[in-house]
Amino acid sequence: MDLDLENHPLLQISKPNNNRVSVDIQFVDDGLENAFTTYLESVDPTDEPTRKSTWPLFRLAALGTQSQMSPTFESLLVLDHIHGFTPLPHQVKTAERVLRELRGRAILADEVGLGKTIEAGLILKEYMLRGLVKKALILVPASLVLQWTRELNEKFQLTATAQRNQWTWEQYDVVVASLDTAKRPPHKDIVLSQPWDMVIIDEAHKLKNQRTKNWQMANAIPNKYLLLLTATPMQNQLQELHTLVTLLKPGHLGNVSEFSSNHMASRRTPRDAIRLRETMSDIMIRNRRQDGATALPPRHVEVVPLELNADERKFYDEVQSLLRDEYESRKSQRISMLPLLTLQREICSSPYAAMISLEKMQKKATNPTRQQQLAQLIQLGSSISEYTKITKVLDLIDEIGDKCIVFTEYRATQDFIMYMLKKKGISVVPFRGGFKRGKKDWMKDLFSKKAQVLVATESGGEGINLQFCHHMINFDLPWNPMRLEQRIGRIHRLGQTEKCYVYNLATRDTIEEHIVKLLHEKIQMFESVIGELDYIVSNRRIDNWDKQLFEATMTSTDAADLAAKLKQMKRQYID
Amino acid sequence: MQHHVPLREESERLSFCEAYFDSVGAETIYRADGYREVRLPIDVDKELTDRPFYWLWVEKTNQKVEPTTLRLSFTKAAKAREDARLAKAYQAYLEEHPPQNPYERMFAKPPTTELITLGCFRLNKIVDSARRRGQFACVQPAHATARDQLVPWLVLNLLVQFVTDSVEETWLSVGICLANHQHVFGFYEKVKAIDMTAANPARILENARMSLPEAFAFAKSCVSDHIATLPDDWADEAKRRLTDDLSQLDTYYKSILPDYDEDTQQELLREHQRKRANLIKKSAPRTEVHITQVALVGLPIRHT
Repeated sequence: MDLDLENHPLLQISKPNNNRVSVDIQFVDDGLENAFTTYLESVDPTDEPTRKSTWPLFRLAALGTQSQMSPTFESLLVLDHIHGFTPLPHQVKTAERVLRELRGRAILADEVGLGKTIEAGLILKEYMLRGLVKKALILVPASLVLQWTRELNEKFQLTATAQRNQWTWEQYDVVVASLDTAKRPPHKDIVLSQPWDMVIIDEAHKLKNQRTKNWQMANAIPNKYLLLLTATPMQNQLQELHTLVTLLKPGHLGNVSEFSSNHMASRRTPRDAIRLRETMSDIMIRNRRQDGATALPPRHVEVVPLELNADERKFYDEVQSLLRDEYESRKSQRISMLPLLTLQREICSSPYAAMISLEKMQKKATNPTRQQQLAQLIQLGSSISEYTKITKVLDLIDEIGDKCIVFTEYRATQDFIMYMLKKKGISVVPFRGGFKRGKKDWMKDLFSKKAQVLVATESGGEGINLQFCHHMINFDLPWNPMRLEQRIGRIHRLGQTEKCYVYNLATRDTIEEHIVKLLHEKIQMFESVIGELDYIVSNRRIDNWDKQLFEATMTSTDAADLAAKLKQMKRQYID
Repeated sequence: MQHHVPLREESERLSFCEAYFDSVGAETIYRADGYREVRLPIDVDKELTDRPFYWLWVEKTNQKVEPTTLRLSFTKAAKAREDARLAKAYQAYLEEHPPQNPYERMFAKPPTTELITLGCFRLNKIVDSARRRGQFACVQPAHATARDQLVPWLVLNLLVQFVTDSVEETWLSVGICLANHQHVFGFYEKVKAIDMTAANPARILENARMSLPEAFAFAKSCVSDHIATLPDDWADEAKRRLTDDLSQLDTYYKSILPDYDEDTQQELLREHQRKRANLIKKSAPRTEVHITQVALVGLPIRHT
C-alpha cells in the first residue's frame, strides 16, 4: 500500500523552495501540426467556394468553440441549456453547491417531492457540459428506469439509454439501470470494469447496510463523481448515516468505532446533533419545504381515533392471546417469529387481512387443539358484521366529497376496501407496486379523470405523482416514519396548489398506539440530525407521553428505576 | 476571466446558422422573421443528421435521394407561426390529394419546424460541423493584390483548460510572425474582422524566415510562458484539498485493516488503491492546452 503522500508522484506539483505552484502544462492534439501541413499541401485557393468560405468558416469555428467554453470554475453552464421548464431556486442552489463546495460528491437528501431528480439531472448535465463527465451510470429502482431515462432525455437533452443487455454498459455513455441488474452476473464484472466518471444512485437508503450485496456493489463501482439520492438517509439508526457516508467519502465520519464514540449517544441519539449536522453539511444537502424550498401549501395531519366494536374487540383480543401463546411456544422451539409479526401488523390493518394469515396458520398447524382454536378464530373473524375502520373511511370520503387516496400496507385490505367502496357505489381504482408501468399510468389516468378514490398499497408509493388530489387516508400506518413520509409525498409535492389533508386512522387500545409512539421517536432522531421533518404524526397523544417521560426521567433514582417507570408507563399507556 | 459566451441569444444563433449555411452552400428556400428553411447538400446532410446506415444503404444501392430540407425556428413565436402555416398548407395539399388508403391516412401529418435552442441536437451538429470545417485556414485579405508583399503569420487559436474537480477555460490566440519571430497575443481578435479569402500557401510563405515546425514550437513556448504568469491559487487550493482528502482516505483504510483477516485485507488494499486513483484522477490540478484552430495568414505590408 502506497501511503507515502510526500513522495507520491501525482502530488509532486509544489516545491517548497518555490512558493509558486507549478502545474504541468500539457499540449493536447499534437497531431494537428501534421494535419495542418497536409491541409496546406492540398488547399486549392482557386476553387471558388473554398476561396470564399474558408475565412467565414474559420470564424464560425472560433465562435463555436467559444460558445462551448466554461468561463469559470463555479458558475453553472447548465442553466443556459435547459428549455421547456424552469428549475426552482433551491434546485439551482443545490446544483451550485455540489459544483462549488461538495465538488461532485454528495448525498442529495431533499424531502420527498422537492425534485431530487431535477437536481441530479442539473448536476450531471453541468459536468457533461464541462467535459468532466463522459460516461455516467444511473442506478434506480427497476420500476423507475424508464421514467428516469425519459426525464434525462426530455428535460436535459442527454442521450440516456435504459439498460437492455450486457452490451449496453459499454456501448452507451449515459446508462440508466437497476442496481439489482447491475449486481448480477454477467453484468457485474462488466459494470465494474467501465471507467464511469459519474455514478448516481437513487433511493440510496437501500444501501444502509455495509454487509449487503447492494452496498458492496455500490462501493466497488469506479467513479469520480458520486451522487446518492434519498429522502431518508437514515431510517432506524445513526449507524446508517455512517454507512452511506463511507460510500461517498470514506473516513469523513471516521471508522465505525470512531463514529460511534464521537457522534453517538445511543443507537438513535446523536451525542452532539449540531456538530454532526455540521459535519454532514460538507457532504449532504437537504432542502425542506419549511425553509421555503418551495411554496407548497400547508399540510394538515389528523389522527382519527377509533373505538373497536364488540365483535372486533373480541376478535382482536383473541388474536392477541393467540399471538402471545404462539410467541412463547415459538420462542422455546426457536421457530421464526416472522409470521407472527406479519399477523400482528395485519390485525392492525383489518380483520380481513388477518384472516388470510390465520388460514395459512391453520393449514400448517399440526396440533389439533391449535387447529381448533384457529378454526374458531376464523369463524369469529368472519362473523364480524360491521367494520369500524371502513365505516369511518366511508364517512370521511363522504365528508371530503372530492378525490381521495386510501393507503394500506396489505393486498387483502386493499381488496376489502375496494369491495366495500364499490358496494357503496363509489368509483374506485386500485394501485399496486406490482403493476407494470403502462398499467400504473393507466390507473393514474383513470383516477385523475374518472374515479373518486384510489386505493394504493405501500409498494405502489414510490415514483408516482398525484398532485391533483389533496386528501389522503392512511387506513393503516406503516411502521416506519419515512414510508409514511413517502406516502404523503405522493400528493404533497411540487405542483400541489391546495392544502393537503392527511387522516391517520388509529384504533384505541391496540398495538397501533405503540406505533404512533415509535413513529414519533424515530422522527425525533431524524429531525435532530437531518433537520426537522414535516408534521406527519399529529402531536395530540404524544404531548402527554412526552410529559410523563420527562417526569419519569426527572424523578427516577437510577437506570433500573427509570426502566421500571417506563415499563409502568407503557402498561398504563396501553391498558 | 469572465467572457461573453456566444450563442446565448436567439439572434446570435440565427446569424450563426445563416452564416454557416451560406458557407457550406446550403440553399435558403424560405425565410421569415426568426425562421429559415434550408435545403442541404449531401455532404452537409451527412454531417447534420445522425443516420450513417441510411447513407450506407443509399450509396450501396446507388440511389438518388431528395436533399433534406431543414425547417428551423429560432424563436417560440416563429415556431408557432410557421407550424400553423405548414399545417394549413398541408391541409390544402390533402384536399387536392386525398389519402388513398388507411395507412396514408394514418401517417398523414403536416411537417413541423425545429426550435433551435442552445444545446439542442441540431445546433450542436451545426457547431460541430463548423468546428470541423473551419479548423484550418490559409488566407490573405481580399483587397491584397498580386503585387503586394505579404508578411506570413502562423496563428494558433487555443483553449486553455485549468482542470481539477471542476474546470475553467480561457481562450487564447497567438500569432507568430514567420518573417521576424515576433509573437502577438490576441492575434485572431485583431484580424477577424478583415475580409479574407483563401490564398496560396507558397505565396504567403515567400518571405518566411522560420519553418512551420519552428513556429509551432515557438508558439507553444510563448503560450507556456504566458500561462505561467496567470494566477495559480486555484491549483494551490486544489492541491491542498486533494492532500487532505487523500490523507483522510489513507487514515480510514489504515484504521480498519486490523479488524479483518488477511484475504479481506488484501481486498481492502486494492479497494484503497482504486479509490486513491479515482480521487487523484478527479482532483489533481493540471493545465491542458488544446490547439483548436490553425491558420496561415498573409498580411500585406502597409505602404505609408
